[in-house]
Amino acid sequence: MRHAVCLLMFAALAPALWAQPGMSVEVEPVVEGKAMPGSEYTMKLRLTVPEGYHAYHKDNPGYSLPVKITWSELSGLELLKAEWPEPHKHVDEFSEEWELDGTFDIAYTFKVPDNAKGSLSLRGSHEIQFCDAAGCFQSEGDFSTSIEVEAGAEVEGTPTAEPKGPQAKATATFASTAKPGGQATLEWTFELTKSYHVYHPENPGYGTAPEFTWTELSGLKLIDQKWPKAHEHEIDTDWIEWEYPDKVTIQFIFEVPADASGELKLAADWSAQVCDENACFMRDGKVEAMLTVVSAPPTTANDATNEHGFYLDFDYALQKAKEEGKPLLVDFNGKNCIPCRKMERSVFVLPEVHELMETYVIVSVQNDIGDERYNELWAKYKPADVSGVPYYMVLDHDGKAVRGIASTLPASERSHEFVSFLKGEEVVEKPVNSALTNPKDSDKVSKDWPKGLLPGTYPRIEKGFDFEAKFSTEKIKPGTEVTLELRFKTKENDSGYPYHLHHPSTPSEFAIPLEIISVGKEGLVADGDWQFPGYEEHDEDMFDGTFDRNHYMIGDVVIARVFKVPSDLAPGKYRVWGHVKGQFCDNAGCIDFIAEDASASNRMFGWVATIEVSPEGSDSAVVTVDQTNRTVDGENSPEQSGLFWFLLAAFGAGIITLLTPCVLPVLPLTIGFFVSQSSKGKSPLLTAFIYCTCIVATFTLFGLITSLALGATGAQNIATNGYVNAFLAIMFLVFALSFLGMFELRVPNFMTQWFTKKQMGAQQEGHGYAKAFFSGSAFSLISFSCTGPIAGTFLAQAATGSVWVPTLAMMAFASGMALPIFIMGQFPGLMKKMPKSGGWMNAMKVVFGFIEIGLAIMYLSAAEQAFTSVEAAEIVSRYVVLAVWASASVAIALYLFGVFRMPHDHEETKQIGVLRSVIAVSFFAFALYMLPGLFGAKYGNVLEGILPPPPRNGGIQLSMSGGTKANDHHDLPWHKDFDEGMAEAKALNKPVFLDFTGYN
Amino acid sequence: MPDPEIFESLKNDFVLIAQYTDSQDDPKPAQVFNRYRPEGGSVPVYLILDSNGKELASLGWPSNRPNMTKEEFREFMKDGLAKANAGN
Repeated sequence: MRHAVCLLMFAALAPALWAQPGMSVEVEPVVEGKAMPGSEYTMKLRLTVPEGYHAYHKDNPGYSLPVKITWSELSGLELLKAEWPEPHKHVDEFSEEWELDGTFDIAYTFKVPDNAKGSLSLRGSHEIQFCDAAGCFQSEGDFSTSIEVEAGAEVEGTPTAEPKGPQAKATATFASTAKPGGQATLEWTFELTKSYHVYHPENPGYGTAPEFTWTELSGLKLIDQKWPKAHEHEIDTDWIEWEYPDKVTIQFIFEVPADASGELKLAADWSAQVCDENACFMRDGKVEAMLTVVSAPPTTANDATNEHGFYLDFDYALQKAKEEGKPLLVDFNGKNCIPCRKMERSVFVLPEVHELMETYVIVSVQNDIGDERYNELWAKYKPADVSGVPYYMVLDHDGKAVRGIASTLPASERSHEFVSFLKGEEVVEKPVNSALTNPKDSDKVSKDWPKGLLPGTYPRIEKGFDFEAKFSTEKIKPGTEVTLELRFKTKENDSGYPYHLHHPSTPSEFAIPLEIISVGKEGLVADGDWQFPGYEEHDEDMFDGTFDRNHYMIGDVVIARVFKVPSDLAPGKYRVWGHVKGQFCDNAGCIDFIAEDASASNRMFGWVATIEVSPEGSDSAVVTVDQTNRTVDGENSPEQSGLFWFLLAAFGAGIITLLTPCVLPVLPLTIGFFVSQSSKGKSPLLTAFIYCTCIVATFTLFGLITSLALGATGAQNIATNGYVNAFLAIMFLVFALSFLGMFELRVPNFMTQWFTKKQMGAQQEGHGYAKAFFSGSAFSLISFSCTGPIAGTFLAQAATGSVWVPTLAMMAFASGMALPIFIMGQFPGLMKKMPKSGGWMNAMKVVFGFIEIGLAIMYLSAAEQAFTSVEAAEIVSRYVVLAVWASASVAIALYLFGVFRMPHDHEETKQIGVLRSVIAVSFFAFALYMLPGLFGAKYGNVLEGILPPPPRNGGIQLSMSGGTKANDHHDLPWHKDFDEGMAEAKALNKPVFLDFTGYN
Repeated sequence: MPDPEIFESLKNDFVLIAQYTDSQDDPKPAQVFNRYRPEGGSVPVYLILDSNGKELASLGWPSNRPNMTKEEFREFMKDGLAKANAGN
């Protein structure tokens, strides 16, 4: 049952497999009815030529080769006549060709012998040249069928004169003439009685192969023999016979002596075991063959040329190219190829082409004149996707391929393309035939689409952007200028990430920049080059810790070129067309501009723009492209929205700082100062303003210094620098220890003393505003032991952003501190509403201290990652960071619950406030939340953005559900060397997984 | 492709070869690609070969979508592996 299903599936698949690649002419024998012995019988061969191509009639008077049918086995039938269909007679200026296209039948009439009976087998082969306007292809193949003979008509009693058992007939002929010192091939054929077979020399079964004894060699030396693939007859499991049923041709290759000439005689005795299913017989015989040796061909001299000046000897031409230092132009063509002749007559004769050809050494190589060198050259140089002639190639003078051109255009339309090819300019190398004839693409190819142009956008590309090729105006006067605009409107991917194109200035070696390729134009003259818009710079993580800079084009991308409209241009419609090459990418990968069925080398799609030239048209319509780069600083970066929240957080931190023990106790004094100043007739508004501005200015100065320091080196690099991260880690640790009460961080005494002195002096001299200035500055410095660590935290965060972020962050932080002071300065009554100083202030410091520990470990991890240049830190890994965070949170919670005391805590915590317990619970919850992460869980975007990625090895690797072991492409043991990989596969007896990938 | 099943199968059941067909300094991958390339195929293409280099299964990149599904890939691997086991 299973076999039957397999067979059915194969039967369904087989036609699909054969119909698939490579064009060929199908030849199918059509047999109807039974044959009568002694009468005539007619059968047909049905030929199907691919659509758009034609084959040629047997009596074709033109260049093209007629359809050739050769019968190799007729089983006694005698061919009387062959009837061909009426050809279509195609006549043009220089030849008449009799064409056959579509599906047609050739009818063969045979004489059936009187003694015929059973089934007669017929075999044959075909050799067909088929062409369209652009080129010719060869189709070769075998066909076979059988004819049933009417049983009733069998002539009884005819005595069989043949000896009992099978017949074996041997014939041997030389396939061609030979050169002295060359090789000759002897084709040796055994024809056996039907249903009998002989055996292959390496037969693994019992049957033995025919034996040959060379009785006369005339100096020939046997160097090789080639046996066709035998039929593997499986008689039983582990018993296989390699058989040749009915007929076999063996090739013997001989070396011809260098001094040989004339006719050489070869003779041999043979003996063969001939078997059928039931019995084996020994047969033997003698065979003779003659070899003609054509000595030193006096045919064409090496430097012979054809009528267009092409050398005919490739090797001579290559030598010549070497001597003259010129490149070589190779014309792969056929003697019987019409498009080739048309190219010669309509393109090669153009003066421009003639002139360009003089810069080359030119050589013609023909595929149908029995030139052996052709096969070698064709196999060596032809690209995989080229199969027909004419094909033109430029080789350098060392014989290395430089470029080649095939085309789907008729010769009469190829001059432009061919000139570009000769000049070595950009040229549509091989317009993809299939893409143009493919119905789903041709829908998009409107009637004004020039021939040879690839289709426009297709589904694969429409995903990434909308495309439009348009002139800046529809109608224009002669004698003006107009801009052609290629407009790409990029879209977003399914998850809302924008697709981008790469600007031509993209320095990356991993991106394919957008490239505009002009192919053709009518009437208009290009003025200047393509203008590209500005770009955004992006650093792309190359997954190995390095970054690659790319220039993105996103949004409404317009690429423009100015065209001049000549003043003598006749009114009418004119076109400009070409290709766009490139790829578009999102954060996951890139999609090349490859049409569904185009070859991978064509990363392109086509465009056409049409303009009407008319005296009523508009004046010059030149549009300039904004070429300024769209992103330089952080304000326009994608982090823009993040920046707002960051600054808000800094502002909030500023307010909270007021509640720390270094600041809150001082506040009443400060407010008292404002009140006293107002009683002295100074404006409380101005006093408070000066005071607060000083605070803001002091902190902003810190930010500015940081900005300038980072700006010089580049904020981007700083963030990934190991030393910077290590420094920050140590800084946070110092802050943490200070907050926890190990020591007090202070601004050096002389600084505070200087400000205090100034402040006192100003007061004595009665300069109230000056006092406000100095006390504002003094406030900033004195409160440093609390403000410093918090400000430092924000500075460090800001440093990983853009250049001006530290300045902005400090401004926001200081504003948060200063604003409440300013407001209370105006309404001193509010002071009473402030929370009372007390033990809780130290508690806040302690909480901050533990948080700083968490920050310190995070930067330590980043430092390790940067120093070791791995994807993720392995010692201070993600798990260590999570563990420290969890522990610090637990410590905070326990501390807040009053379980233990720290150095600066004075009073016993008897009662726990409501707020305090809520905060404690939050920290406890956070600690629990970290727990699954220790076992491999992942968190949301915000946390994952801060947390280091999991280490590749080392660290904790308990996996709960599937685990999160890093398992991308690079972690698998990929072999880069193919042979090495295959060797290992052989050794391990494992299958091979082969990944064809690209760096791009 | 962070799929544990696929990852483990790739690691344990196969010998892995990656051929960078656009490598500038090594022509070999392009030659290998040409040997096995499907009609009109573009990179990336995955193939499963037996240990003699005979093709057992192939998977081309779907041209109308940017990604192939895990199921497609898994099917392809299963198919190739089954053929490889049948051959041994």
